[in-house]
Amino acid sequence: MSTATSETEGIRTDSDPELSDWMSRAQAGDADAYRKLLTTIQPKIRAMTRSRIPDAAAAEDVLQNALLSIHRGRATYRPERAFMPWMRAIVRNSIIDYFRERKRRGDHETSLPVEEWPDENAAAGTQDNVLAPELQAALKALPEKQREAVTLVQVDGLSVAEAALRAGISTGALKVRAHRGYSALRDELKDHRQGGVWRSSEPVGVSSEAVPEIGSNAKGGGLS
Amino acid sequence: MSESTDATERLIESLGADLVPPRPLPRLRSAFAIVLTVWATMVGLVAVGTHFSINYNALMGSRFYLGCFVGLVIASLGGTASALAAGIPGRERLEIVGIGIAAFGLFAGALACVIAMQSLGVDAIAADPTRDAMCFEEGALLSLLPAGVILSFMVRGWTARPFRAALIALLGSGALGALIVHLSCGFLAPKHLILGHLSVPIVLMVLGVYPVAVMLKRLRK
Repeated sequence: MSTATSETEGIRTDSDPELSDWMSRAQAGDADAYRKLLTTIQPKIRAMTRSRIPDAAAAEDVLQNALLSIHRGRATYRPERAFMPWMRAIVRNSIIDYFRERKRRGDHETSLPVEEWPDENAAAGTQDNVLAPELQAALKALPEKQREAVTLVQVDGLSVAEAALRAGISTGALKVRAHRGYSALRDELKDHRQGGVWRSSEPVGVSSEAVPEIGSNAKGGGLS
Repeated sequence: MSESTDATERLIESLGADLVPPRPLPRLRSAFAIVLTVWATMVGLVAVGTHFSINYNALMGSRFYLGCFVGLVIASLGGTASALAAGIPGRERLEIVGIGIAAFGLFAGALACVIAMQSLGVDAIAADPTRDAMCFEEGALLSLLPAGVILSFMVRGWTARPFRAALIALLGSGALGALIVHLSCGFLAPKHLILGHLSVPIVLMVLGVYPVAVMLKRLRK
């Protein structure tokens, strides 16, 4: 392997020609080369995101977004050009997007009063994917796209990036849909809960994050 | 944290499983050549359809007309190159340089007309609103096809900054449309050149940036 080295963004790249080769093969449909490529660049991207984003979970989320962006923009890579500058541009934009989104949230959103979700649900020995009838009904009543977003992230437990890939939309769009879904669920369910406990005695299988508080980081993607 | 890392591993697996060979994007210079070919074809078709001939006398005899022409050429080339680069990660430098060149071209064209207005006096400033509107409409219509071609490349690419990309795409295509009008128009009032020709890319940018940016954003899946 050639050792064309360049020191940019604090990352030393010793395998650019190999990465270019894997990407070329991936563009031709070689899934193994693609997995190798993504696995190899993953630590490099993680180093970039963590050097700029102190919150480790948020940095991981940005890493996933960057991987998705690389996947969706893979047609724009040209084999005769170096791979790392192309990749770094995508990662840099993902990081900028993160900070912009965070600033936008900070400017326009305020946290709603904390609604305590009961620990009793977890303590009741409930099983995953078994939802309270009220929650099931409320979920069914959601518009299809919102229901899909909420289900993928909260019921199926996918990260935002995975859910976005599954739904075939951008992570931003998925977050918006999920956020709207949470708001609708919260409104729909507020009469069914009293003092943090479901009125129904049916089991509730989703975690206490099932309808996350606005402003809190939800699993896998900083939903807020 | 390890849960997030696991999610990343799962994502890589999903992306590998989801892999479909993409339709390769043409090289930047090829895309640029395609846009210019479309534009040249349009000039030919318009010339045949409307029997216009390039106003060489005006082009060579009037400094501000020539200045405006050169400004529009610079704006269209810079804007087009920048817009095409906006769809390719890693080509930000070309994108930024193109924006600077396009803005300079537009500014230089406008400056040539303003200087002419000041030096030629009030008579030269008088314009015909009907002709202004006519040239503007024609310029706007003629910029639609170049805009479509540029945007089709951008949509196939990966546009990181949709608003900036939309602005520069409209600037480039608007300047290309205005150039055709400028070549065929025989009305040499500087004010007309500003209101009927140079205004095309500017108005297109102002009116079109939002819908085009939203479209680019939505199509960026």
